[in-house]
Parts: sequence; structure tokens; C-alpha cells
Amino acid sequence: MSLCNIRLQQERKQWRQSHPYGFYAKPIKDKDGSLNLTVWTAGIPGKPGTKWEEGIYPIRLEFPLEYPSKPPKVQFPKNFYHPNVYPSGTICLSILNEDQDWRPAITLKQIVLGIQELLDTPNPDSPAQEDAWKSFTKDRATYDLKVRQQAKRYPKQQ
Amino acid sequence: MSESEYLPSKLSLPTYVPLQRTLVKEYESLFQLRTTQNLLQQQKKQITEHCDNYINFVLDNDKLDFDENILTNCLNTFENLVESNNEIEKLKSIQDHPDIKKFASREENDCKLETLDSFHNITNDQFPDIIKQKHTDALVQADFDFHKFLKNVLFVIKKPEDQLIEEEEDDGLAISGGKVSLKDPLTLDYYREPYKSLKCNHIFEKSSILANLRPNQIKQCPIEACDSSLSINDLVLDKLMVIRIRSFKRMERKDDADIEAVV
Repeated sequence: MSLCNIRLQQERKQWRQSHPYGFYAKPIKDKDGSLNLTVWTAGIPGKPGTKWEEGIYPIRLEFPLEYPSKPPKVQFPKNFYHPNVYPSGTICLSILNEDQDWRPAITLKQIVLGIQELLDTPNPDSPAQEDAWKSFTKDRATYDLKVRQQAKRYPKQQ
Repeated sequence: MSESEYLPSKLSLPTYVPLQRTLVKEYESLFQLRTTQNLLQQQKKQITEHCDNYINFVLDNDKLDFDENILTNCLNTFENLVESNNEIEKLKSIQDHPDIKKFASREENDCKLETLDSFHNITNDQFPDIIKQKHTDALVQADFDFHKFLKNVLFVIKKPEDQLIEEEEDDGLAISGGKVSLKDPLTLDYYREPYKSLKCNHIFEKSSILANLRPNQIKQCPIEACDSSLSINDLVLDKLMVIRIRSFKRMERKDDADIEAVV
């Protein structure tokens, strides 16, 4: 079995044993009903006490064959409203970038916690979309409103 | 003048008393150390090999447990040999001390009534401090490493998941209580062949670090925020981790058996 596969099975095992409160993460099922460990869906709850707290935001993680040498590609839905998320939904985060801070020992748990942290503490120095970035830097009232509206679209109770 | 007629001015014993002629030989023979030290060295080597063989034998035979007594005996024997060797090193350095050389080479008369006065005139030489000091720096690096390894083995066979208690930290505080992960950070599965980086002490499963690191390649350590750059040459088998895994699995199996016995 490949290193990628062993690691993903262990990630799944560890996640099932314990994971941070309010999160979910699971591999998708292929058409024939079998688990596809290389693509996962997960939910990132907004941190309590922030304007993101009402929502749980879905992400999709695609693990390349070279994982864990290379990081997974992680995406929110298209047009997700956040200064560091590209219009395609791809998240701009240093720990998810092979040329920056990705290390093979970073676990799924660390990734999802990192993304949760990013939600309310965007990095204004690496804009990935114009809409949210402009509001965040120039018109904070509009930004806050749009974030709260978006939270209602991804309510915690499913 | 007969002996009985002569009386020295002081009849008390002089502060300096010469070595009796018959004892001189014995005194010198004490310094015939080479043979003894060779023997000690051989024994030290033997016990080290014996211990290594024992550990490897147990690791190779899945049904065996480590015997604490055997390992403790090895450790004690080794410590005694080191102690003896230290004593010899100490004797050697005493022998080479200039003050001691002066003592040993002094041509003297026997201490008799006739010569007593002259002995009183000899100023009492001070024994050099070297005699009182404990000689400790004879432990060579290899001995030091073996001793530490053996102590660590004795620790991990009882507590395979616990962090070693570091003897002296810089601030003098002993650190303890932490747990050690027995899982490869790359596969998140238990180690089978754990290899340790000599640069940063991070441990990886052989197959997974080799998949990450090609020969002649130098890459950042896979652990987040670690600044070391690793090549294959920086990796060595971590025997202590092998023993941890082995003891952990044995304990787990024993626990399972106990539960079955109760049920």
C-alpha cells in the first residue's frame, strides 16, 4: 500500500477516535459506494464570539498521490466571501502551500484548525479576491454585514 | 659509643616517617597497573557485547520479554568496572605527581635512635590534594553512551510511552511526565523500523522517510517548524524506540490476555 494511502487511513482512524468540537470530516463515497480516501469533505465551524460563529463552512480536501510530501488542495465553495480565498474557492494559507510552510507531519486536525483561525483573522497582505479584500481594508461595516449574511447560508444545524 | 649510650634530643616520633625497606617493593608493585587495566578494559568490552547480544536476542525472539534483573546486573557490573578503572586512573595520576615521585625516590636510612634527630629535621611534605580527589573523568564517550543507553533501556521496558528523565538540564530542573509518541509522524502508524535524525532527534519510520528523501537529496525536516535540513546520512536506527515499541506491544497483548482471563 502506498504511503499516501496508509497515512489517509490513519488520519481517518485518528479523526474517528477524537476530533475538535464542532468539526466534521469524512472521505467521500465513490459511485459504487466504496470510500475514496483521496477526497474528503469537512466542516469548519466559526469560532464562538466572532462574526463567523453562526455558520459551519464546508470545505473539500483533495489529497495528491504525493501526499504527505505535498499538501492537499483545500477549497471552500465557489465565490466564498473571505479576503484570502480565491474566486475558485481555493484557500490561500501558508501551511497549505508546498513552497511555504507545508510539512509532511502536519495533520488533518492542524489543517482544519488553521482554516478556522484564518476565518476571523484574514491576512490583508495576501489578497485572493477583490470583493472581500476591498471591504475588509476599506469598508469594515459592509464586510461584517456580508460575513454575517454568509454565515446564515451555512447554518450550524443541518 | 654504644647504642644505649646515645640519646637523641627528642624521643617523640618524627612527623616524617620513612617507608620500611621491605614495604618499598610492595609500594612500587601497586603501580604495576598496566595488566590490571588491560583486564578491566577487556571485561568492560565483554559486558558491553554481552548486553548488546542479549538485547538483540530478545528483540529477535518475539516470545521473549526483557528480564530486568539481567539488564540491572549488566548495569551494575559495568558501573563497578568503570569505578575500578577510575581508581587505577587515579593511582596513575598520583604516581606521576612530582611530590609523590620525590617521596618514592628518596634514599633514606632506617629510622633508628641514631637517626631520629635527622628525621626531625626533615620538613613534613604535604600530600598533594590529588590523593583526596575522586577521579571521575576517565569515562570515555563510548562508555558514557553505553551506560546512558542501558539506563534508558531499563526505563523504557517498564514505561514504554514515557519521556526519559533527563538527568541535568541547564537550569538544574529535571523534566518528566511527558509522553512519547510511538507513531511515525508521516504515516501516523506505529513504528516498525524507527530512524532518528542525528540533527534534530526527530524520528521517522524508515520506509516513509525514505519515500520523502532520495539519496543525495537534502530536504527540510518533515516536522513543522523544525529548521534542520536532512539527508539520508543523518538518519540512524533508533534502538531505544525499537525497544519502546516492543515493550508497548507486549504490554498491550498482556492487558488483552488479562481482560480475556477475567471474562
